[in-house]
Amino acid sequence: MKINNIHIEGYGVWSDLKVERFADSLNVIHGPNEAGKTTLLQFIRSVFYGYSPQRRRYLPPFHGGLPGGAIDVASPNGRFQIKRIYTENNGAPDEQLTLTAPDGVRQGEHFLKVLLSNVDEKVFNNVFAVGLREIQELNTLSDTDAAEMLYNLTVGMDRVSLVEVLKELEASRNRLIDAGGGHCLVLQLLADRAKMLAEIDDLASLNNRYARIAAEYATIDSEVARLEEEANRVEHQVEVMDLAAAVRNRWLRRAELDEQLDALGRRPDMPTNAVERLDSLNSRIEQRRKRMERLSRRREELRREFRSLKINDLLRRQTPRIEAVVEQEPWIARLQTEVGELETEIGRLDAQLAAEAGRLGLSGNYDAAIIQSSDAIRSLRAPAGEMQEARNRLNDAKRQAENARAAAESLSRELQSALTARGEHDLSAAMKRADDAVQLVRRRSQIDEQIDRYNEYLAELEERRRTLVDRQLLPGWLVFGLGAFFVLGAVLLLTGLFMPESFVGTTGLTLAILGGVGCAAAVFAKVMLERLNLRQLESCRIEIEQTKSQIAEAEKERDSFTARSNGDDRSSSGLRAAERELAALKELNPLAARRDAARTEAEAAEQLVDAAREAARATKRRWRQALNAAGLPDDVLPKQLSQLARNGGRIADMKRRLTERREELTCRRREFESLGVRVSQLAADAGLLPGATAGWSSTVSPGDMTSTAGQAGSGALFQQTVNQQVFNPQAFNSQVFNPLETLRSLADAASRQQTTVARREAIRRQSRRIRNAVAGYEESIGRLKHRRRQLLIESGVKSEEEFRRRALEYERQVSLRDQRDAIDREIEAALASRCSPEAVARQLDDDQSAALEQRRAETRQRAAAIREKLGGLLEHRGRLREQIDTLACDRRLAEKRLDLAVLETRLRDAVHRWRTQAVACRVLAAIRKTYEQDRQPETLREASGYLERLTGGRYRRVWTPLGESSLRIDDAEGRAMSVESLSRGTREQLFLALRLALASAYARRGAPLPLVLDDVLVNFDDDRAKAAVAVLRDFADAGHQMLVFTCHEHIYKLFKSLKTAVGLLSDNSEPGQLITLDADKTEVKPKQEKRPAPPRRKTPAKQSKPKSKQRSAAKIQVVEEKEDDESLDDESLWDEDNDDGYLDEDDENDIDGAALVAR
Amino acid sequence: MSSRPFRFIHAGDFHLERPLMGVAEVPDHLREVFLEAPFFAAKCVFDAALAEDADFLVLTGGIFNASEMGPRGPIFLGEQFVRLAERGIDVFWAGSMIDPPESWPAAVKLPQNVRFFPRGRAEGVLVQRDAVPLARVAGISCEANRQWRPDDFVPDPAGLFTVAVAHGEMEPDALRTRGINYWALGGRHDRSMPPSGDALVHYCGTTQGRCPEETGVHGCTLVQVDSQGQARTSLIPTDSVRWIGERITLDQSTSLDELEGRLRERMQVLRETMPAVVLLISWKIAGQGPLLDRLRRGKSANDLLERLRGDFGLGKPAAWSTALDVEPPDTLPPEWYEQETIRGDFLRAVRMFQMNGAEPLRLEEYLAPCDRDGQLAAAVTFPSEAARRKVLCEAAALGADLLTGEEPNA
Repeated sequence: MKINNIHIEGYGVWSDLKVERFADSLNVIHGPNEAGKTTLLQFIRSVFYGYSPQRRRYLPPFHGGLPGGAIDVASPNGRFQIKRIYTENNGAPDEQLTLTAPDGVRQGEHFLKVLLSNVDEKVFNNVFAVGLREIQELNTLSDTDAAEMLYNLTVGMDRVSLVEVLKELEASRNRLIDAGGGHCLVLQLLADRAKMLAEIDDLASLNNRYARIAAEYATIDSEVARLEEEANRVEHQVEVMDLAAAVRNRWLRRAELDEQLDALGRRPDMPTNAVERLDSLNSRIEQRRKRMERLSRRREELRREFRSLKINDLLRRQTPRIEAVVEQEPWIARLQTEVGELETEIGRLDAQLAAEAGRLGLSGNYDAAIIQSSDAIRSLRAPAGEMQEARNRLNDAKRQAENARAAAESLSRELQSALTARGEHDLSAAMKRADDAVQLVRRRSQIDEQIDRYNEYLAELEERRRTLVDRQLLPGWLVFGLGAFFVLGAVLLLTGLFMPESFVGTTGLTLAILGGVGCAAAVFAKVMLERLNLRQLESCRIEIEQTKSQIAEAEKERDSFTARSNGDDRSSSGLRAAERELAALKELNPLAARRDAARTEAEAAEQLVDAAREAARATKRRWRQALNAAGLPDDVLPKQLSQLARNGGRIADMKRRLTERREELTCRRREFESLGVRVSQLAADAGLLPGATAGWSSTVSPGDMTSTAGQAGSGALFQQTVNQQVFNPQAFNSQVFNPLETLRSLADAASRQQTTVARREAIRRQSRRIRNAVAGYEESIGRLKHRRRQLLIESGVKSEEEFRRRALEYERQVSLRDQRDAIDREIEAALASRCSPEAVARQLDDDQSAALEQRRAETRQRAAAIREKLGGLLEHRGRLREQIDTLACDRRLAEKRLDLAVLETRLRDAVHRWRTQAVACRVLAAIRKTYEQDRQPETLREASGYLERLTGGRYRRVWTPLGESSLRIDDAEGRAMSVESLSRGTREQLFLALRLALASAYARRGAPLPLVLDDVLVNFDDDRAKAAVAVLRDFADAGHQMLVFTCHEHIYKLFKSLKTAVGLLSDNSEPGQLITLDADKTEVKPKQEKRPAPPRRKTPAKQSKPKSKQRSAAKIQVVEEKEDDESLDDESLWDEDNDDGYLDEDDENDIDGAALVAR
Repeated sequence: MSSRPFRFIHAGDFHLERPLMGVAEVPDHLREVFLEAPFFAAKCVFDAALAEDADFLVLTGGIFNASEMGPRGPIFLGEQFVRLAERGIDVFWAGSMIDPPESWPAAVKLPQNVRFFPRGRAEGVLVQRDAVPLARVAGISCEANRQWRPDDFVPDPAGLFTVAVAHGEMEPDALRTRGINYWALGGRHDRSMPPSGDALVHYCGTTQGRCPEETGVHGCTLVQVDSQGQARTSLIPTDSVRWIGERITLDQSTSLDELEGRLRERMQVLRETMPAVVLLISWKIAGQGPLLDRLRRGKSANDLLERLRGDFGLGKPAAWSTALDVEPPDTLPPEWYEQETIRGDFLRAVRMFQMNGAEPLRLEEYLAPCDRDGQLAAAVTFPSEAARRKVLCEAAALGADLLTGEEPNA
């Protein structure tokens, strides 16, 4: 790729700068300090690789313009313009990169990498676009680092350092497994693993320990079982002995009792409780005898009471009927209450119904059912609506008629007042008179005007007549003309007649004819003109006469009008007054028309009123017919219809309820009357009220009874009255007969009768029971005596005394036997199944108390000894159990295995990582070797050639020992020396040679990029500079495009002398420069008028610089100025490199460092 | 033949001697879980036998290694056997190479309900309930120099449902025609049921996954045999710790936040799906894109792992992310291999090793001479060709990363 043109639209100090026609070989651009050469270098970097943050300090452009620019390049793929514009997107930096072919076709951004042959920015900045900073950067590093960087620069074609990668990988690999056998992670893990395995082996002995403990535990367990069995057996013996000692006294007592029982011998058994049974029988016989006597006395008392009780048979026979009727007492009472309540409710409903009907305006008879009927109400709605509508229409018509009449009257009054104001009464007559007056005045005025016109016309005719009179004599010129024409004609005629061919040849005759005609024409014209004038004069005279006559007629007519107007004003003012009067009257015409219309409208409204009235009458008739059809009074108004609709249901309901209550009252009264008759008949049948039904009057209502009863006050008083009626039959004939009370009285009488009957029956039953009881007692006494005899027979005795003696003997024997049984039970309880009685008997049979005690003591000692031994074994077994439990809970082995698993995982991961890194190292080492052996010598050989030419043969070879990161230089004598031993200028020659060789190497590998050198020759003396210029020229001639920026004129001249393309950078404060590179000359063409340079402002970088740093910079400037004097070829040139007025970070760092040195 | 229905538990490979392993670090709060998970799972088996009222329990070996175990294992098992004995549940145990009948410590007496099958020959036992024969259980323990054979087992002559119990894998076709109704086999840690015709061949798997490779649910098998002799198996989970392997694939546009969101979302799903067990999740990030390079080169992956552990790994039960590994790309960009760069040279050289498996890598050169015959000698030898390929693949990715030279994002 080669650069053809550069167009900076805005970058740093440059605005609209065009550098064109770069040669494909060497291009030299000369510019003084601060001319913007470094800016140009940075611009090339920016366009190729973007506006990095460090390069963004050149933006925005110092002198304005669109930030960015374009570079035209040529490559094997064609020509392209690479344009990169810096933008900001919401404050964030952004770029627009376009690659455009000459035909306008655009390529993607990825194509830029193709153009740049995939050389990345770092390589480009270090190899292809270098300034003095990059060249001298090596000097700021330590010797070792410098050597390594050179080494990397030599062998590392990528942006990464193979050496660095290898070093990093080896370090990481050695940390895992040290190749020198030193400490490393894997060895550490292996050691830990071995240690852990040993610990696990140790812990595996837990199994043996557990087996031993478990075996011992099993042995002791069996021994414990055996001893426990023996101890139990011995302790059982002790227990038996203890029990024998405890029950020995009872045991002996039981033997004594057995002897006593044996002494008593065998006696026949008495019946159980024989004496008690005998006593009981005797006692029961005596008790029954006493009860029998008491019952006999009681029976006699009952017989006497029975005889004293009397019975009414008549009443007793009617008792069932009375009871049946009494069961209906609640019904009678309820009937009585209901009748009263119904009467009260009927009265209340009557009053409510009357009030409601009155409120609705209903009078007379009406059918409430129809009111309730929605159909009836609905049928009334239509006529009601019609009637209401007719009434509304009638009212509207009346209102309209009234309004029309009022309007007509109002308009009449208004019109009359207007006419009265003018002294008129009739508008039409007034208007006719006014119109006549106007016409008269107007006609007279017209006649005057006509007379005036006649007069004027007459004057004109007179003037015309005078003119015509004057014209009776033709004017001289006309006469002269006609005469001349006549003469000419006559001459021609005569000539033609007399001298036809004298003058005009053959035309004489013709001319004669023409002359004759002319003469005739002149005469004819004169005659005709005179006749015409005469006729016009006569005509004028006639018109004058006619006009005069017309004037006379007009004056006559005017006079007649004057006479008719009776001396009215004939002037124009009179006409205007007449017209105003007429106009005023005409203005009253609309009023009169409106009045007439109002009258017509009033008449029409009256007709409508009559029609509406008739319609209202018709609808009223239909309404009444509808009312009649609905069963409502005629006086019901339509407005009541809604109330009827709303309240009709309620009224009908009230009326229905009233009817129902009345019917119910009738029914209740009927029931009550029938019950009264039944009660009265019952009282008569019972013999208490003969003919009682005659006393029952239907005129007395139950309500009266209730009220009478209520008035009677308390129930006691009422009951008293009833009781009197019951016991006084005459009272039933009174008008206050109350069937309820009568019924109660009957019930009371029947009840009392029933009580008497029941008492008699009870006495009879009681007497019968007493008789039966007496008989039973007699029978019982007989049975008891029989059982007493049987008891004596069973006991084998003949008398009661013998029986009692035998019973005493039997009781003693039983007592002894009971004592023995009790002792036997005590012994059994003392043994409590702990041992058998036989065992105790064996212990007691010896009957040797001392021997028993001795044996007890011996056996107890033996048991204690066994228990003691057993306790020891149990304790030991418990310890073993505890150890087993401890072993069971021991998780150390599991924990160690878990730790071992974690460790082995780490170990496996570490080994895997080591293998991966070792493989990578293995491959990278092979590549490094290839680079060292194959590629590096090629580059270094080329660099050696350049170095030899640059140094004039003083140094001939640059090389690097195999496997070492260092460079060696051989001088002409073949002496090798290190880079550090070289002078600065020689070192820079070496670095330049290395870069030329690298660029050549890249070109051979398919990356022929332009080489941009920014003031890299500043430290070269004249000889070195000449040599360098020659080398660079040859390098460029070999096909490498080079852009060399220099601030030194002598270097520029050196290049120019070699016919290279050169260009000059002058004042960068002028936006819009065009620099055309040429081998012979350089044209600088300002493209626009020079405008005053804007005041130089600080760049953003400078603006953001702290004051302290600015102060440091100021100090440095002083120091550096001093140093300029002392070593002009050193830092001063370095400072000149930053000639564009911008400081980048490296500058700032250097400045800071220099400031520190200055302090 | 119609018989009484019955049910039994088929379990094996308790491996009580092995705690959970396969991780490079065990957090303190999960250490107890790592240690106790095998015992918890084994206890769940016995609990299941009691809860399901099983008629018997079949153990297919791999229960514990007495030489590596210590007394805790037999003591624990003895207690559990006694629990089953109290309910009258028989235990049939076919030992493996690590738990032969002789390995049971003599100090611990096996309860009467435990039948340890002998080595070298199959032994059949008639299982009865209420004096009614239910099934015949035949088993064999492993022998060092003899693999058990299908013809060691014979079906019940009376046609009873026959269960063959053994440890070790066997071709399903060989088991097809033996007339055994149910082959209760052990030795596989993953539960499986290879097809074998009418016979039911079942590997119950281990009761607790022990390493990241043993993912998924583990437990024992409940076998229910109906009156027609048809067996139906169902899994009863017993693991308290579950290994999960999750693989997330990235694309060119995936951002770190999106990846973290996907990880968290997946973690939530796992937590909700398996709420009662401790989850040990191994993440693998694969795919392509700048984020993958960033994760592989920088420490973003570690930061992401720490955030996942902090947010999900401390709860009860925990969902602990054991690792977040970034897989090397399967294929690197082809143009890299064509470039005339160090990276291109490197990749071409690695590809040469990949294509030529016999080409020695000579890694022993990176060992000290004293270590080449020592314990580190194994480090330079690849256990398999697959291991060599994996190392070469990762080395290619490593070299490409280093030689690309881009600064890894922190």
